[in-house]
Amino acid sequence: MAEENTITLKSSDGKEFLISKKAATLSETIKAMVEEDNSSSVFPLTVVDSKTLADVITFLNKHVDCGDDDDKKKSCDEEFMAGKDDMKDLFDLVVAANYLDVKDLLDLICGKIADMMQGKSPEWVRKTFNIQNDFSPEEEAKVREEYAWAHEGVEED
Amino acid sequence: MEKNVPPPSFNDFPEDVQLCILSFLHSSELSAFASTSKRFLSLCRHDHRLWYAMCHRRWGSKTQINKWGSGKISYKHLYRILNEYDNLIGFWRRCGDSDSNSNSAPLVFFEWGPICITGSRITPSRNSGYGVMKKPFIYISVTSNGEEMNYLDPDGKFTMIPNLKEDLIGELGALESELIRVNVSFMGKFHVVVEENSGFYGFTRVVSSPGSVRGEEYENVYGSPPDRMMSEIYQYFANRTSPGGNGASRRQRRREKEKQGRMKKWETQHFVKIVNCSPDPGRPLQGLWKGICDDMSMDFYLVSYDDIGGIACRKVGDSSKPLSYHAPVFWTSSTTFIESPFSHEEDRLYNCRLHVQPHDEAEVNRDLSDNRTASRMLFVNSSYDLVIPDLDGNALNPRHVEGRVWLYRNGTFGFGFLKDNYIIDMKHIAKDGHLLDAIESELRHFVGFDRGSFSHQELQDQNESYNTTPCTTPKRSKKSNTTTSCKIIGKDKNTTNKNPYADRGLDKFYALLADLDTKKQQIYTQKGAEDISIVRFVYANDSNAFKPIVVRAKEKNKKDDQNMLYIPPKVLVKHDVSHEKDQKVINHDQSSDIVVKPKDHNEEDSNGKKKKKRRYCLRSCDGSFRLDNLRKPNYYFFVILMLIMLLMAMFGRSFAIMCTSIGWYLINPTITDSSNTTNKSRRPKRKKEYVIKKLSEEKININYVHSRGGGSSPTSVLINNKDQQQYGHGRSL
Repeated sequence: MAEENTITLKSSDGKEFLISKKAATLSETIKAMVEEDNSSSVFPLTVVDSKTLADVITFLNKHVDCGDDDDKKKSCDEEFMAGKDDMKDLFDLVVAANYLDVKDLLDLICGKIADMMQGKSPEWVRKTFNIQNDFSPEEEAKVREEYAWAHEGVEED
Repeated sequence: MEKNVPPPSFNDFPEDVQLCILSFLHSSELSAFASTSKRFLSLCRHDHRLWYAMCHRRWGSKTQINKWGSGKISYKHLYRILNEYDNLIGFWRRCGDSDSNSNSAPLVFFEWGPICITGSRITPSRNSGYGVMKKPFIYISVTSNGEEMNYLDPDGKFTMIPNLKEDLIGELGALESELIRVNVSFMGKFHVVVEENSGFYGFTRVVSSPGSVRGEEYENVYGSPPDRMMSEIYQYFANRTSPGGNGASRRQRRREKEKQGRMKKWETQHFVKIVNCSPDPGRPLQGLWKGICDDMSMDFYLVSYDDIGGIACRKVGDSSKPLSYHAPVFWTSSTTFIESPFSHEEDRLYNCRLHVQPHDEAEVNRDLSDNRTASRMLFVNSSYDLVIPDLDGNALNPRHVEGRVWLYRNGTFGFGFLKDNYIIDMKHIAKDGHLLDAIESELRHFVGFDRGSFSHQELQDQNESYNTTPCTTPKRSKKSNTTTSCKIIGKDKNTTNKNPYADRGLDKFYALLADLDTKKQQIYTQKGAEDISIVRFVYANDSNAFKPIVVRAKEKNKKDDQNMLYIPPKVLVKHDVSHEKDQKVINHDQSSDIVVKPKDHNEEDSNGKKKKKRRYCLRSCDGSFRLDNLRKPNYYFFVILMLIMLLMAMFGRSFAIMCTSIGWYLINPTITDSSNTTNKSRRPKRKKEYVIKKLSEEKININYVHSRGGGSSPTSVLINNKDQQQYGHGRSL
């Protein structure tokens, strides 16, 4: 217990990450863990792999640095998201964020995923999100009709 | 997604994550998503979870999602409505002629309120500061059954903004008599029409457009056609379809009339959105700005970039000024800025200039000193050469039109022209969807004073101070801005012990008092101070002019009564005269000595002018006497009416009729008697008046006859005859 203010997070593939307590407790899950078990300093996160955990920790550290400055946070988030276009990574991150209960990160990634869906056809969505189409063509047409209003004033691309 | 591993399925996500992702989607993407599979279709129909999340995501920070429509409408529906209304947010410019309503400013700002969207007219504040008058005039909300409900407040009567109140609709509905229900319909994304909610369409069963408010139950009743002609058509139909003319339809018509009367206050107005109303990195000057001109009045400017790379700046703020008046506003065809280290000459040009600013901004100046270092510069031309091509007859002296725009480090800019020595600094009007330096809800015109009552003062107490501080400093008003965009104005009343309006209008009041005092003195000197006990002033019914009422003590009245007693002999004389006159009309030839007689009488009259004057006073005062006399039969009338009613209630109709007819015969003579007696005192006086008039006319007539010489000339006879015919009308010549 050399440093009181840091804890170690262990990813699912066994890698350990050192993180300040302050940053770690931005995650509600870790916060609960720490409060529950004050003695230990290593917390295994079985759901999160090392790559994703590294990203999450980067995010947490950045947000701790930013403090309450919203503008700064925004630029941090942009920086963080830059280059994260791979759907697989995003999915991993979103699952991790959900598991760790980091609201800011969850919103950020969800927003990013939603952005990618912007102006896309149902076929694209099915392909990207691996969704099986269980509609008959008639049913699908009906659904489209139901949401016809949604397309008012939205230019298709 | 080019990948070896199959991408993870959306199905694998926890539902929270799914909802979270979906909440970021707009409706169009959601529709695409819903049509992917049955499972997601059902997810997309999950109103309370998904649609709430979507509403909350988009507008949660701006408004209270769960309070719209009293929380009783589906979030999906709400989303649809808000999605449409979302376009409203921002600045709009009224288009069409500005003459229709002088108080309707061309600039309108829509913003989110707690449970409504508020549209406010934006005008530059009149005291030289950067304050912006914000006068809410339209409230857009949703009823608990999901109908769009828009109220217009044409006169700014509804000054209280119903902040944090759940029962907005009820509140607005209660004020329906003051407010106007309107339709706000989009014609495309950037054009909106605000028209009075018209029931005419409902009546003829024309399907209203999706943007308009759909048929409320009482819409037909309340509805009013858009213009007079239509209203006549409507009336025609209404009369035809309701032949009975029963109470309901009468009521309906009355309402219509009321509505029509009200309708004139609001004519359909069109608004066009100001699309690019904030600067962006590529267009640093773009948007709406406010600046103080050389005459120290603030105005709004709109700087727009055109497609071919030019910049034009024009005023939008003040509609009261005629269009021909334009302080030089700049334009340029090239948008290339000159970067900071300017040439020595340009530096001098900038540094020797004065920044036009409100008077009491000394302390703000210090903060601004570093902000006002120009980072970039742009050559511009004054619009003078566009408006008035050849001012002063000079052939376009470049010094007359040349100007500069200096872009400051804080993102704002200022401009000036070579012929002047000042800079007009521009400031942002709004930031992040909030109006800067907003002065909430303009004070209503101080009508209370004119009417002699001060009830309106209370209302003004509630409003924010702006008139007591002649120059609203931005700092001060910023305070009001940063709190909330929408707040209860009454709050201020509670927090500030000192009423800033306590001495407002006092100077006006004293001026009027002084005025009245001099008038009073005049009356005293004219009528004699000892005759008058009180002089009061009242306002005439329909004007601001006041009339004096002179009240005399009773003793004096008694004296006047003696004067009254004095009247009868006079009247007798006049009777005689009138007789003579009648004779005279018959035989003109004797007129010579008859003319003298009335003249004599006239002289006598002028001798007694003093008395006459008294009588006049008396007449103006004795209105009450006469009224009392008149009231007597009226009084009887009511008593009788009550009696009849009572009889009817107790004994039935036939008995009542019998009693009434018997009573009528009994009472009738007494009424006529009493009316005779009461009239007696009046009648002679009237006659006397008439006689005086008649006499003077006669005199003129006769003189006229004399001057013509021919007493028997047909014209004179005609005139006299005519006069005779117009007995009592007088003034035939």
